[in-house]
Amino acid sequence: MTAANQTRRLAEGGLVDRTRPLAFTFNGRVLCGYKGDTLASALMANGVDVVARSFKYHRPRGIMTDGPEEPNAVVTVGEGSSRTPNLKATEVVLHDGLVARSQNCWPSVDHDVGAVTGLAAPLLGAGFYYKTFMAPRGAWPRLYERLLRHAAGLGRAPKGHDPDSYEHRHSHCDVLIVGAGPAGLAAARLLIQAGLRLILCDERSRPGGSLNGTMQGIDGESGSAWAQRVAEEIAASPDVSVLLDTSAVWLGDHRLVTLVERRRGAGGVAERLWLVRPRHVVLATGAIERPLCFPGNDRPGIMLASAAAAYIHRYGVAPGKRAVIHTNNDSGYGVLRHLCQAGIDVKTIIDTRPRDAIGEAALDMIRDVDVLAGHRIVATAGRHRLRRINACAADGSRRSIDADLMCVAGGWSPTLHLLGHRGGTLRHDEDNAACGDDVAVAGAAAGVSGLAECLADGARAAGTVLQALGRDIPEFRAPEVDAETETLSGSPNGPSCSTLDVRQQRAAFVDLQNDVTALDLMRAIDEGYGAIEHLKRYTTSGMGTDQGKLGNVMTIDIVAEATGQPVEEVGHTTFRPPYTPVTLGALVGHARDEHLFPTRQTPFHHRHLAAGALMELSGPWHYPKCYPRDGETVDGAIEREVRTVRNAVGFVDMSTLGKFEIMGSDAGIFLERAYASRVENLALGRCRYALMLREDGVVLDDGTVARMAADRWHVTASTAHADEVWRHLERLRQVEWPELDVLLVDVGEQWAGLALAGPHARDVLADVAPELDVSPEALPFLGFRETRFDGARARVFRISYSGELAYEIYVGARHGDRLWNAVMAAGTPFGIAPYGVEALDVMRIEKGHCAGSEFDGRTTPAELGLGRMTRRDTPFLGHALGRQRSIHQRLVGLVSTDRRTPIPRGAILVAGTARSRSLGHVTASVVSPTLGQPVALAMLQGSFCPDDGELRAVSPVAVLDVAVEITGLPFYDADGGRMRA
Amino acid sequence: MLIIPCPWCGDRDESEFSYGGAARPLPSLDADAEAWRHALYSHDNPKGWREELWFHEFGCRKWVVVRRHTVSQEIVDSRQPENPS
Ligand SMILES: [Zn+2]
Repeated sequence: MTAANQTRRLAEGGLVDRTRPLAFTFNGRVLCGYKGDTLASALMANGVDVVARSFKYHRPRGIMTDGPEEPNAVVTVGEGSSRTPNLKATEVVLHDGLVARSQNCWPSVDHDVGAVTGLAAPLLGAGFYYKTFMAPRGAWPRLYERLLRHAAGLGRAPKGHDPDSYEHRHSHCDVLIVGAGPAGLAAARLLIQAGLRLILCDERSRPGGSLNGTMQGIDGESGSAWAQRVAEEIAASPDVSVLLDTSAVWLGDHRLVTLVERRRGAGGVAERLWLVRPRHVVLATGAIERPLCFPGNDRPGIMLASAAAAYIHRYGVAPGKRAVIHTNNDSGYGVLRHLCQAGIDVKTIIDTRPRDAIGEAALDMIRDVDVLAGHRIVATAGRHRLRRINACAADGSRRSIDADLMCVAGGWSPTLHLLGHRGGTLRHDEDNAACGDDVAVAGAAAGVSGLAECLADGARAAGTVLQALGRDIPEFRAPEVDAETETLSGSPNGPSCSTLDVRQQRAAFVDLQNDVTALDLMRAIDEGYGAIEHLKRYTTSGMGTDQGKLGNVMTIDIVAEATGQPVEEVGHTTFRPPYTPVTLGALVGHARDEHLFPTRQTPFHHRHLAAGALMELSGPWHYPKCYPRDGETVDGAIEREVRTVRNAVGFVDMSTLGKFEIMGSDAGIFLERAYASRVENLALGRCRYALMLREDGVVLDDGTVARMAADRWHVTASTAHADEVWRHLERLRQVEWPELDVLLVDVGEQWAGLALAGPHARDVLADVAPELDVSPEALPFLGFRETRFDGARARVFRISYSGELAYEIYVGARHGDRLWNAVMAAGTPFGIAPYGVEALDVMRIEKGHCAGSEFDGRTTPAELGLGRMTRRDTPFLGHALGRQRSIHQRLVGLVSTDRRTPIPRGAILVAGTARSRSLGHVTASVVSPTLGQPVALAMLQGSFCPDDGELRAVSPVAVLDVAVEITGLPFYDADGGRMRA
Repeated sequence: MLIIPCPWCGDRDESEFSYGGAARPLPSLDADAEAWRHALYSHDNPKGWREELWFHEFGCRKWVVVRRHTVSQEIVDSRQPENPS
């Protein structure tokens, strides 16, 4: 590995640092580049022609561009878990030790077995996803899917944990300028003079944009040196950030701009996602050169003319030895000088226009070059690189030219993708598309051509921003552009893209990444997919990782030509964010593993851990599943916990319940309206189960309502619905019934709560709360008392979820620890033990109580057998529509017919054979330790009648099919004697 | 991501709010089913300005009425729900 292997590196020139060689690996070969290279330029310097294989036909592909529009050179970078697939070699900044591989090829990029699918090309034409692989149906899993999965797909995602770190940064500024080319720099200079806070970003490692790829001089120095100096000057100003290697990928609502800063190889975070909220945005995003459509236009060695110039001037790399320029407009002639300067032999310019349409300035530039006017390219040859070009004149005469480089110049498209993210469509002529008054477009992005003109336009755009902000506009000192080095510009485009008879074209590609040809488009149009958005989806043109930055214009031109519509009427497909692909790592930032989302802990969290709880996440809550003892299985622990509650006494953490205090002279009226159950007549010191419905009569939540004073109530909501119930109640209070004198306070986090349950619960409570009369007469079932616990306020509710004698005790969150200790101490003589959510669930199923899986947003009180809990006389929320709802299903208990086989959770209920219509589903299922047999709750359709045949619970997922019988509910203690004891 | 002006807290990020749909009063509780059905299911879907409810959940916990343009996403003002403008 030496720098000497860089056979295509020019002896001098370029903006790379030749004193800083960088070693990298491509397809296992160790190669060398320089600091300042992209992976693409380093590969080109090393004479690597075939960088990737194409997606469908596995055709050899080389480097076509020098930016995010690259359709061909798609590679995987990194190894193992830090592997990133689908990166464009033109966007990858070279760093020491970089490892990259080609994609879509096997066994190697030069000898690809998949290339034989090229023979099957007719099978893979337009809409092949929908047509070729349709029948026979049975062939799908065995044949087609394997075939497609093997042949298609862009790169493989890494499987392991990404070792790199990513971060997000939020920022605000007065103006965000996207693009540090001539227009962006000119705008930044003026805005700094006005003292604005600024962020200037550019997707490349070096400021200057097009100045780095041309030889234009400004203010007596080279354009790239000028840009570097001005950018440093800007960066040194107060309140300014200049971000390089940073792509603006999304212009969102209210000017939230997402930037991705790529720092891989620079140490620290690999990528940084910026969320910038500027007051104004200046888009100085430049323009992308258009390719041309002709047969064999995908061969390595065919590249954009501007890219060829950029490789010469920016990287000091000769993109070829013998070149042909292919153009349809005058700007193509400008590249001639760059090629000659790099010592590249240019013999021919193939211009699609007749000779009299070529501008004089363009013709003035040519010396010793053959101009084939009015010619089109009919074929190219060369296995791994362009070798020969066949051109054809209008009169049919043919010419064959030897060349290994073709510079294609199809005119320019302004880069306005970010503007497209704001919705609406852009007009083809781009006469200052509607951008709103907070976004200004400057330079080539605004359709301006010429360096001096772009600099002036940047200043103009800055002026509109300053005007909108009500600031004075400083005088703009226009930099002096060296006229000698001015590129050919201002010339109108010739007929854009394909002027060929596209019906003749076989390998004339419009979308090189997705291998969509002009012929594919023609066929799709013939099949009726003439609308551009339909055509895109049917042919996949423009759906690659480059989002058709090159191909879309050719697609539009072909549709226009084939359908006879003007280009303006064809329109364009929607530009969607991101502008260029973003890694999942950057999007996720640090929100991974335990930082994925915020979680909550109850006041007893450390007590659960100390008691050996197996914790799990339930929504945001860390909650104990069960408390396995030494040598105990999870199922064994759950069973023991249930038996402890049923036979002695257990306790469970209730702190996650939603808890609200509702007060005010109209609090009773408010609750009476909000709940379907009667609550207003509740006596002091009593509580009641109550149902809350949605406006449409479906159950929203259940909870308890307790009356603490005439104008003061305590209500609970289920853990899962606590936030929703809170929003709902606040909406009713603030928006719907503001006339009521009522106040809501969320006290959910103020109280730590434990439920004591089991035959000995009263004994334990008596010990824990000695000031409280716990006798059944003083504290009956559904009673509520305020008392003191160890000097602190406490609330005791006699309610039962488990079906046993039970009390819920609440103390201030900070006293939770002492409550746990007291309950443990008082309960030890009775064999007390904590129990988790699993035992809680087992016991509520045994009791036939509804929970989240029955309150699934589709069930009404009548269907759940809770009709008696709704009022008949006075209206409540959900009353009008709920009354009208017919009963489609009902809650039933199920047991397996053989009393042994567990009933699969989530199973579908069918009658008779397994293939018959669904009659409902199992909502909860458990093997009851109390009853010694499997039991389940299910929603069964009203249309079921026992004559339909044997009822079966079928789970296609678990591949289980269990015969079941319907039983009454509850399964346990039907008369409720135990909880009323 | 929108910036929503809360009448109590000033300009705040959308992520602090929960969406509450179009701002239009519910029928009275004793209204018939037809009135409720109309209120819940026959919604306008205006292309342009409309008033909608947002709950400043991670802020002042007030429901506010916001005027938003459904195409441009522009938001011009907001108010308390109980003070119809
Ligand atoms: Zn607020």
